[in-house]
Amino acid sequence: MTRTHAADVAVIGAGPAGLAAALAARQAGAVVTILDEGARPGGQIFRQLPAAFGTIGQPAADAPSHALGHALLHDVEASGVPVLARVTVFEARPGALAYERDGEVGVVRAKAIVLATGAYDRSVPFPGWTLPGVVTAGAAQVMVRGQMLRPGTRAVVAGTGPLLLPTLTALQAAGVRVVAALEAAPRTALLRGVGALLRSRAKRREAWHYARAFLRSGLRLRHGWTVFAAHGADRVAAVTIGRVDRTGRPRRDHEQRLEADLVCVGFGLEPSNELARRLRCTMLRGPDGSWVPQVDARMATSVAGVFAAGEVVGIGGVDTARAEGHLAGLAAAAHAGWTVAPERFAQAEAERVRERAVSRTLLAAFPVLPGLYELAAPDTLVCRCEDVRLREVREAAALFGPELRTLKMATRAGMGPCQGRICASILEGVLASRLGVDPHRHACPAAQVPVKPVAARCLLEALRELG
Amino acid sequence: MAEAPGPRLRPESARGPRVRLTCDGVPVEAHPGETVAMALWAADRRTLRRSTRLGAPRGVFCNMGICFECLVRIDGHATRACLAEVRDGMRVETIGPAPEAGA
Repeated sequence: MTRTHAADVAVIGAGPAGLAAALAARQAGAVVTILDEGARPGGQIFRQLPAAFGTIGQPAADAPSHALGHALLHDVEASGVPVLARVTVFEARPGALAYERDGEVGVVRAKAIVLATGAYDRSVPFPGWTLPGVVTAGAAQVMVRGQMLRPGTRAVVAGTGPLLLPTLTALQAAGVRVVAALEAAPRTALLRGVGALLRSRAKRREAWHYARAFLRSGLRLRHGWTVFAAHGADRVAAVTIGRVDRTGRPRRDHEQRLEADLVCVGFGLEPSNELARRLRCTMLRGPDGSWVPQVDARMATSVAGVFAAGEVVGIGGVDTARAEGHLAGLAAAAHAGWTVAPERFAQAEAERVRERAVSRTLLAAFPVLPGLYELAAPDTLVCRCEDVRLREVREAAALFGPELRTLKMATRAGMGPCQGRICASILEGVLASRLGVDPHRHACPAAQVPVKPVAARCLLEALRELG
Repeated sequence: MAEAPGPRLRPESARGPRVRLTCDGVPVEAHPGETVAMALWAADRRTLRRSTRLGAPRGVFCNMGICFECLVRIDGHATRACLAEVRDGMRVETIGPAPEAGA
């Protein structure tokens, strides 16, 4: 029997944007339901330890933004807004969505939907990147901050952007020896990033917190370096690192081999945009090339009754997410028929514009370096799910042309359970760097139901229910 | 933080009572609140799956439900090990060609 819920506003995602959206909508009077894939609300940044772990001994020292997280989580709990945890939303239409939980299907009917689905690490393929023990930067943070594990003994951390610092400090706090901390971007990117941070008081505090922890750690961040290859039979045992030029292109003149049992990689973030694509929201390229739903000044997408906030409309960090969530929550409540005073809207809109401006500068400081896609060798897998090698993509492109849909049919790249979440940006990256294919010629990939794999039985049940 | 023995940062005594699961028939001890992926990681098991075409070892990659690399069968149902929390008596089976001994 399908579980059905009715609400004025359904919020998908319980990170800073989703929590702020739910609170704002609730305070405007709306009946709100939050849906989240995690076991507990908080999202990736306000990750809460399992209740069974008790409360003694937090892992790493709390960052300033975590006070905001505690406040949001507390306020949501006090507001009585239900959080449906551990649910995977696999279908959305204006006014209704379907989720799976432990093999059971649920349907939420809501006058307004807020997409606050967040983001995940952008991956760049290199030889050996599929070996067990090579994980994303976010994965390492979950291990330490969410599960209180020491994920390895000797780690190499590589990637680009400000999120490398919290990853490094988390690993250090867990007692992992970081044998190399590699930022692919040149030092000038860091300086531009610092310039962006200085324009926001909250970000200044957050940056100072991580910078201080990093300086105390004694670690050195090597700028213009990255991981070239991971080695091992059935788990990572060693890595080759090396220098890259300003565009990220590997230079083969300074290669070093290091022993390591953990490799953490994160080349910026990409938005979790599959529900926005499934809802057929008009999608735009963000400044980092990611596909994001177009939103108006009040976070409304092109589809009536669908709003979006936070990382899914452009990587921007926790303060932008909260400001946008708040605004989207007000707008969603108003769409559902609740009255929101114009001055509340004006204040929320102004704050959103301010925060987003800071994020844009920060994002621009750490662009996706196109040359990094030259790290992959001909045998390197570019699609993990379907085991598709770079060479096969090149051969298919030579035969059939560089259209993503054609390449998908010819090679199966992007047809596995990740549904392109990991490999879509990789395919664009390698086509651009290896074959000179302009990424802007590719249209935004369509998202089919289910947007995450579920049992056929669940899919049929949901489609029957939704009609 | 002081170097602690084993991969669990909190003393095992503070993690609540142990639960027992099996992975491909091998017993694994874990604690409530741990995910299946992390309980297996703590048990030093890195390979959770063999890839579809090449049979290559795969394990935790994103740890947040995005990549589906940690897809295992839990009590008969295909499930992401990084999102499922352990339960006493849980039966975890890896998918794909059988892993070689010691993997």
